[in-house]
Amino acid sequence: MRVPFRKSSHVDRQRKALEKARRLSSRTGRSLRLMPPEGVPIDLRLASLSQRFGAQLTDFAVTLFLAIIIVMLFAYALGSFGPLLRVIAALTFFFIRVPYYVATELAWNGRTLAKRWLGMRVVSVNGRSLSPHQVVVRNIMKEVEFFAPLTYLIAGGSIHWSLTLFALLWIIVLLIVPWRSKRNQRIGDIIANTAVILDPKPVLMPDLANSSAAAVSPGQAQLPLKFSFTTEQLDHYGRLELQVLEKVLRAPVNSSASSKTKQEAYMADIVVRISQKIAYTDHVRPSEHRDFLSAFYKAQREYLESRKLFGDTREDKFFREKGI
Amino acid sequence: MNKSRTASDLMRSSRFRREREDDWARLAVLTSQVEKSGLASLTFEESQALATLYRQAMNSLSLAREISLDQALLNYLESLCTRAYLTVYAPRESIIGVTARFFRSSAPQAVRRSWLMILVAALLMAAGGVSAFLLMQSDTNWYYAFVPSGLSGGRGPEASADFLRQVLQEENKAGAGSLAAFSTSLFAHNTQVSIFSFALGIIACVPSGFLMFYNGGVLGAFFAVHDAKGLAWELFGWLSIHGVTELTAIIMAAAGGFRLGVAFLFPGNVTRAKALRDAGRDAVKLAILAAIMLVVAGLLEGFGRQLITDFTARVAIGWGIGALWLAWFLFGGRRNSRADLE
Repeated sequence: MRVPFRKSSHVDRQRKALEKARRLSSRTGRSLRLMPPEGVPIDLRLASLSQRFGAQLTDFAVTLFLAIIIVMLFAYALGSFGPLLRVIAALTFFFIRVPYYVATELAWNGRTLAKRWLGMRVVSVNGRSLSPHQVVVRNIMKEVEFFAPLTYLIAGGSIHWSLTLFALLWIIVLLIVPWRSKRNQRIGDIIANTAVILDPKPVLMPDLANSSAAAVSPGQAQLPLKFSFTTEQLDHYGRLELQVLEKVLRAPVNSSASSKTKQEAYMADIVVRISQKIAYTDHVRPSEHRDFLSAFYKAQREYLESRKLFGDTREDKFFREKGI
Repeated sequence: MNKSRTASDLMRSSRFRREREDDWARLAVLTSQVEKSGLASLTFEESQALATLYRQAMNSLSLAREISLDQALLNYLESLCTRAYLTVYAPRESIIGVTARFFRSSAPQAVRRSWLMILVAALLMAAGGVSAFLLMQSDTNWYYAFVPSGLSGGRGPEASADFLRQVLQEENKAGAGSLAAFSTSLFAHNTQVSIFSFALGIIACVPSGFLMFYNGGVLGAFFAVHDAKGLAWELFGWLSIHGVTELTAIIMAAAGGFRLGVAFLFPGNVTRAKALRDAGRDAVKLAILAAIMLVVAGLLEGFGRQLITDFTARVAIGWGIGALWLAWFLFGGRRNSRADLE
């Protein structure tokens, strides 16, 4: 059944928004939209809770290591392991943590040693640079949130059992906060208005629309002429389908035989579906599947981009009800 | 639809990319250089170029979102811009600069702004002390309600006057080990009280207030025990050397908690989150101050109290350092705040 193309009915828009949200969340995990002073919003990938836990554990080991070194130096200087050393050890470990986090995050732009190793960093949610105040707040709150009750639990609450229970509850509640938070923020992050993101790695892939030379051997220079599409044929798909096709074309060619045949079968399937959908009558030989798809990609992209310039943005194939 | 693709006849988004590609690559190089060896490693021209290229890349990103459907290009530009943005808007303050500013002006200013909360915390502690002292006059068993066993070090109502005096004079050599352990537990106790009174301030101030009262109670009960044996004045000297600093630290931490709690209870014309954030600026400074004072107190306790046993010297050192703290709070960063206003 053919449904006439609607600009955007209310139901459609809702459905689209829902689908888009689902796609985004399944592809990259949670993301954070920042607004830099330049006024161009950028989306960042938030670090997952397990990644953050890993970084925290690593940093904990680092600070413990530092504290042990300092205490050993003291022990060497004092020449004994008296009770005074116990005081020093307790003090050192307590007073090395916050300064360590604050100093590293200030010096390396929101990265402690572990965050550097694991490719994460702290950013300010308001889009400005991270201020010393924010760094201090989020790390002092870390002390209040986790370390203080944890030390209390381990060192043993001498006052009353109810306080031990309270400390336990405290930790549990404060662990739930980042889990339920939209931006994976713990309380310290919320108060300091910061979030932890994954470092983006910019990799510029070749442009599929003008790198046909990469896919085509020199002898077939006139190949782009081989497949041609009419405007009607390009009227079926939208942005989403185009970008899925892009993904397929960009997938690295597998070296192992079995996955190569799998990939080829997949591509053949796509060729068949596209040909059916756009009523492309010429037969496409199996050896030409990739060329056909990249030719279609170029034509489709050029068409959609020019439509977009005229204000006709096509998010996906919503004006037909049948699948590909 | 079917064109041969020579350079002049590329589709619009490909031309867009080809014209700007080199600048993007240059920005990527500069960015990774800054990430590796810092902004100081750039020459003047390079840092100028970084700023310009960053703005151009931002511009490209916003344009590409409009005209290009090439997902790989959009992803690349987004990552590049994010990276460059994080480089350009990195914190510009050095650790030394921040620390110096804290000691020179921001800490004493925060203390002065929170004078009311500090007064309330101090009064609560005093009230706890006085009431515990009075309760002890009627029934010495109140002692056990106030002082946790780990904290007393055997100095209960049943202890002899000689024992108490020996502890105060650090003469009880047999107990030297246990005394050190006692200092540790006292220190841990005070640190815990500080952390909790700061953290719990956010729950409408009540737990912090209670902690202040309770801590004052410990002190009052202690005094009552010694007073009964006529040793109150000696205890005063024993406590003075580190207690002045330590108790002030606890009061500062509680005052920080009170600032948060008050912001939570009475946010005024802003949202609670905003009020908390604003109050947090001073509260955090008070917390850091409390931590520093606790360390100083710990040093005084660990070394000073054991080395100096003379009563007058103890009092003089303890209150002398207290006077120094007070002078810092009262006069630190005065000129700066005036300069800020002008």
